[in-house]
Amino acid sequence: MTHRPRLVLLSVMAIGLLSLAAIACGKTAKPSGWAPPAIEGDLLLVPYKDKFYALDPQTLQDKWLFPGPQDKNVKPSALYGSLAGSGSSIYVPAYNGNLYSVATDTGKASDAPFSTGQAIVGGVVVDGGTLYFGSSDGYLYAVDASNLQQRWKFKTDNEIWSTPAVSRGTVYVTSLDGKLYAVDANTGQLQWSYETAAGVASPPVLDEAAGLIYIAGLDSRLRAIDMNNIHEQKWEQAADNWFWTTPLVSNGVVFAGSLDGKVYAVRVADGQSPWQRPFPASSPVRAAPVLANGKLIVADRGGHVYSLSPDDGTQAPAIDLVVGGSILADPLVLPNGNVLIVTTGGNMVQIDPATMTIVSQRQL
Amino acid sequence: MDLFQIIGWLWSHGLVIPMTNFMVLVARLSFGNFGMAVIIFTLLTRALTWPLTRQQLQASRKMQEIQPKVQALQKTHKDPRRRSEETMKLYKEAGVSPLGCVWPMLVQFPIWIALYQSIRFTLGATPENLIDLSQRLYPWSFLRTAVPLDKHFLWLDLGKPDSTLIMAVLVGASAWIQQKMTTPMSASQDPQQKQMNQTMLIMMPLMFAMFTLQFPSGLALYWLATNVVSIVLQYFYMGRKFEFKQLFTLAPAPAPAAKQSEPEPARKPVKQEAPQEEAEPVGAEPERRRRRRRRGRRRR
Repeated sequence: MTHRPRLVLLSVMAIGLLSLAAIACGKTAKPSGWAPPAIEGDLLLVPYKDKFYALDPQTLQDKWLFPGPQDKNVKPSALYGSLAGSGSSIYVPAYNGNLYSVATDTGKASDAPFSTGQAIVGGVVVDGGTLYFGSSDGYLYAVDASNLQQRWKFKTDNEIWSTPAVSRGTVYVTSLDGKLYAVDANTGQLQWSYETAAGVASPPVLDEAAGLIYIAGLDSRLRAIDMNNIHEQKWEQAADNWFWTTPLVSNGVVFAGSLDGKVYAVRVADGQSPWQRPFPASSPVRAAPVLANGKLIVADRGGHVYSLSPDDGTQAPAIDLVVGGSILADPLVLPNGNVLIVTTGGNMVQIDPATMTIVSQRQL
Repeated sequence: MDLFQIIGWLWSHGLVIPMTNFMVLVARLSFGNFGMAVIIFTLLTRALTWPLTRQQLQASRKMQEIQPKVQALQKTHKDPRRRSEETMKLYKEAGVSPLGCVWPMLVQFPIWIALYQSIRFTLGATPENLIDLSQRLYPWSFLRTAVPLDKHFLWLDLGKPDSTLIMAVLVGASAWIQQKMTTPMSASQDPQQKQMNQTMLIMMPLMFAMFTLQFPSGLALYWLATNVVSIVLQYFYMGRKFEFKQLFTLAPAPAPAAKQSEPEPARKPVKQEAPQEEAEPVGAEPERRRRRRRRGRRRR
């Protein structure tokens, strides 16, 4: 081969390699979404990517789909945050920065969504006719549920990726600035805040009986914060990687999975673990644990589902149930006692927690 | 574990993950600003790969210096094989390898791709990306608590494409300048070569400008920083001989060496060759003679 064709070949190869590298490595990642399924009234809402299905909770038969054919211009991009229902509407926080109000009977969106301009990753809560949610623009919003008009907004120092919690006239929200904020629900004025060592992407979980707020953060700590008086940390549980989950409180114990692939249990009273050691899952745990049939059901990113004894963290029955696909969305306990899991690939699986067997599955 | 898995593991754990962690470390030291981290990291990487870059620039400079001789050979020899042989002889005598400026670039290529991937991982553009990042960070609190990084830099959200077109223009323009400066066979009279150079001159900047419109602007910032560093290195290392007015022409820039010295006449052995004979491909001459004889017989 003479040197000229070789140079031509090398040039073409260089351009080709550059193109391939750019396409393979650099393409903007597409958000998939991990909004959890929920039951609102007589509807089972099952989000998947940029849409959600409204099903009959008993029969799992389809009622309608959002966005449906009547909402051709609605493009939510992806759904991460939990949906909330109130009266005749379902409120849908979307990754495109909009909060949609959807009619429960038809699945049609209201004409004008509330727009924040930045991605909404956290969920929405409804309290007293007001919707509370955070956005990646760093604001906590309070919006009138009836007309989607803003009542107030509160600025944090970074994006908000978590769902707020409301109790006794106070909205609690965490932010990627690493703080837990307590904000007056009526005025949007800051009441107090607590700062951790890194961003917090998990929602605050209120335990009013114990007077504690649990926050699980990217500083790999699960913390209990006094919510009534001194607003200081009562205890903390360290993990080997970030916490990015919603902790579950039951019978005086807090359960939380971590991205280190372990599930931790901590006693509310003293911050000690009732288990000999954390339960080792096979991959990171982002989905929140649920209690079903007296068992702690845990799902990991690798698609493994475990049934644990809440008392000692042992696996029972000792079956590593593997559903097809990765699990990032929180599971849901159905009215019939079964556990509903939706994988990132859209596999909707119904599991019997007593036998840890798959009762039904459907590709969304 | 098969060979591909081993290569994949080495690629990931030997290059991409260390780079990703280093990027987060630099970002943490830059007060969490990812934009500053990209620029600092690009400069550091270029400094580390300087020996390879220097080798590439040296080879490129030598190639440009002997361009007049190469052109003279191309004019003199019509037979591609002979021309190639003579050119290779010339390269050998000058101590230049035609691939000398390509191999160092190819060696750096995996480093660029790894850097590229590490920027993408570190960006954490979507929540899923951030979970991926959590699995790639070393278990050091200083690194783990640095995330998520501040993705805002100047007017850019580094996790999203720049909607203002400014970055696309900057990346395209810098790629154009760099391409202009590094086109080695610039003054070649060979139409095929010239066409290829012109195509690359237009296509590469356009391609990167198009990528900039689609990819996170953090990557565009990396391309821009890399291009600017390359332009500066090229300009100073090649002896500041580049004329900036050449940027506004479509034709490739003339080689600096070509301007300083007149093209030398063909080398001695060339003078002894019969041009017409030389142009004939091997095996074609007897056939043509036979045809001429046949035509002559018919006329008679």
